Amino acid sequence: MANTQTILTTLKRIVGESAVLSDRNELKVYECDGFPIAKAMPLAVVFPTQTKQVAECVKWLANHQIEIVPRGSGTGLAGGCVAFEQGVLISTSCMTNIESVDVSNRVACVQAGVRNLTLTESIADTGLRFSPDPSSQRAATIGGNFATNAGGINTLKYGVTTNHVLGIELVLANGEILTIRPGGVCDGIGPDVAALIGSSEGTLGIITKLWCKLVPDPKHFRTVYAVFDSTRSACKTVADVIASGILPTSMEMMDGQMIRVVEDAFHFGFDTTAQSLLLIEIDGIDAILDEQMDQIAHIAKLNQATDIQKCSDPKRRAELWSARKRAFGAIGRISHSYCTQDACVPRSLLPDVVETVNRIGEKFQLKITNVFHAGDGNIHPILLFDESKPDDVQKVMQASEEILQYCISIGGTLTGEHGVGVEKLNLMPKMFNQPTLEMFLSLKKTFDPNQCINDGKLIPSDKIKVELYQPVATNVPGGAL
Amino acid sequence: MCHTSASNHMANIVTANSIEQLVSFVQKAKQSGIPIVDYGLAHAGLGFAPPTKHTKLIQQGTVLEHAKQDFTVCAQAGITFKELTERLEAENQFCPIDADVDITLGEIINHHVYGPLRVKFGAMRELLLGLHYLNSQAEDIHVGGRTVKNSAGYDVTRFMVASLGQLGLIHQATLRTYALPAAICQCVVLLDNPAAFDAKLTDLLLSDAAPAGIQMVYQNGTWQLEFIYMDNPFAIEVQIKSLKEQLKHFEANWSTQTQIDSITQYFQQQTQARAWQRKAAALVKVIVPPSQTGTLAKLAQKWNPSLMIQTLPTHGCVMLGGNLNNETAIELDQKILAFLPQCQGMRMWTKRPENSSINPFGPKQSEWPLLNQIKKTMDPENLFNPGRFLPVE
Repeated sequence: MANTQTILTTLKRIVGESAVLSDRNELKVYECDGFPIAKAMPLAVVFPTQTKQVAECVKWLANHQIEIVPRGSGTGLAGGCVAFEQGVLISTSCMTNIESVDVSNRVACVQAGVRNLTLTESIADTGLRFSPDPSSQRAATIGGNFATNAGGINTLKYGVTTNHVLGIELVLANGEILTIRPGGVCDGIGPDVAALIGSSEGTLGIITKLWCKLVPDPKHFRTVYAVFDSTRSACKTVADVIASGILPTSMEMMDGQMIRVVEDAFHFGFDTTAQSLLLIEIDGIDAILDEQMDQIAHIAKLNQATDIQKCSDPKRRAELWSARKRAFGAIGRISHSYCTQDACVPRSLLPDVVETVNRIGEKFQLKITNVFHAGDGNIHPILLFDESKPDDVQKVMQASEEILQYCISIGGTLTGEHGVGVEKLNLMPKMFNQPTLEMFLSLKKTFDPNQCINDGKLIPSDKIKVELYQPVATNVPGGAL
Repeated sequence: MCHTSASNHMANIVTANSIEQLVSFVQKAKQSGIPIVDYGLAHAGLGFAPPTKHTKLIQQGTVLEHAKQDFTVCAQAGITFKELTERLEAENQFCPIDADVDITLGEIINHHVYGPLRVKFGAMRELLLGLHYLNSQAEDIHVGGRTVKNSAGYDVTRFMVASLGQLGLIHQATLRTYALPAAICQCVVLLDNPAAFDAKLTDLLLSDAAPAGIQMVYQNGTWQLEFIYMDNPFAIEVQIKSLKEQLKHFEANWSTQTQIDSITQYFQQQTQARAWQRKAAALVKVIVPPSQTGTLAKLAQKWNPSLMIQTLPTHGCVMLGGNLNNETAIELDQKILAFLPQCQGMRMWTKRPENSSINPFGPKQSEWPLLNQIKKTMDPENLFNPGRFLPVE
């Protein structure tokens, strides 16, 4: 293995002096992503601007057995881009060109570091948009979205990121550049390798370019806000609306605790005695939306909603959605740290999941508040703690595990949209049988025979062991990995 | 129930409707070295010929679980699309796959079958939530699940779509379902120039006229655009009104508007509309960027006026076929291959004339060598449809 000076000199030669960070003070920002429990300082972070630079870096680093971790904006929530202590982070955050927008084929070609919202904003005059809208969309890169198959509020009607990526350019572990289904074609011959790369969390290669499907940007909306005295009533409303034939754009829920947190922070006028709040939005043809809105409100009333507001005013709509999108930010007022879980269950089982989450919170004496993409069955329990207290970290990890194990046991998945990263590695054997895990590992080794790209993430590795039950793991050799 | 017979001295035909039978067949295949072949019904002519000695597998199946409240259905791969549709329709739901009614769910997944409804509902990449398949060790691999969002593990669920049955033996799938539409309406307009529609399609999709499905057909000397609307009657009224206003932008004339009574009837009609594809002596699927669909269709009609042509303009899918002999098929193929480079398209011959020398797949894509390696990884015994697309090495 090459020494540090050689590594840095080579990387600077490839990407330029100013595109390599190696000062420990500057590297602090890169010691974790949105999952703060796993931390490690990399040897360096590089910021290529072109695919060939990525390829050259990968080839050289792989040849010298230096671990590589791809990183977008670092907004991931599962530790998918936590570094190796003698490894190098390759960040695509400076690969920000929108290379082409083709309205007739409804496709945009973008470098992987283009921010999610930036693409939609740049094509606003076409009437089209890039649909995936995770809460982090201002900061998150499209490459990162694809690598974790990010969701968001719109996924109920419009799908997840993999449904909106037609083709990709990828740098493989040997430095080879592969282009798969470029140019806006919507099909191919044989299995779709691009689909396999989606949600692979940077373990099969580094995504450098994407051909993104563009869809019509809806012009007309209606929003229904309803509050309930029970989560069960709110969940039944969700099921009944979908059964009626209406497919809303989004159906978001907050529990009583979260309502109070958000109201205390932002004063939207929410009823702080309510046990759950439901925000339902529909879009489409203006002439039919009022009738659909009335139908939704009627269903909410049948399910004993205590307050229902119907909204066609853009300003009030923006306020209501601001409340939802700022929910996580509001947590910062009441807790040092928080850990967001991301279970997804069959929609009909949401009420049981909420009750179980609350029981687990009581068991571990943890405050847990919940936000849901209710239409998808995707629940985000938010566990509040202080990361400087080892006991808190232990309790959060154990409670998280119990929540996710329960969700798996009732037919759900351990992650709906955040990914496995390092956070949920030990639960993978609960979700998948041994032959399936072996198949995953063999696929990993097919793409990356020397296991040098983001090994130890997403699937248990036979090379790397992960230890998470230590806060601020930089004092452990190898960090958390 | 298990049925074994020898149709000729080279291939046994076996039928299976349970996982236990399938496990047994795979184990026997591995022990004997005689691979399992299932090219499907509508795709029987796609790909290179199977090895001389093989076991032909026919799967049968049924619905295993219909989670009505969650709008998901889990079914065995051997269930026909007709049976699946009927079972769901009885519960006011459907799966918007647009497949021929007599083919199985397994064939739909293995060949990424889609049709006009892809406009509104997507295709398998959007509808498939989870899969079970047997690997060449006869082990059950379970990927995805029954939730509409799932980021756990590699997305082998979507990867198995269009795998031509070469990576594993799919035996069970979970799909998303939708509520039955209150009404279904088909509108047909006549076009002079299919290429004119390409240029206006985005505008149409941005308007109130955006349909649930679109396809274009060339028959009896005319180009017909079919718009499918699935919604409540008032919404359809608004959409059709908008469509009529849009017609002048792409040089089209209104022809007919027909109510379709049920989703079963819709799928039956679509199956009949595609019947020519089963009868054709040769059939090629060409994939181009959507804006090239009409251009290619128009050119193809000039290249060979006897061709039947059916396209999906929103997704760049062009089906060309008819009574071609080897010579006329080669001629057509050369013209297609000359057209494709300008748009990075590709083509595959779903059916070739007898003893044809045409390579069914091409042009070669950059990921094919990697796919060969993946084939070796996922099917090291080379048991499943060997050599059909990915070569036997």
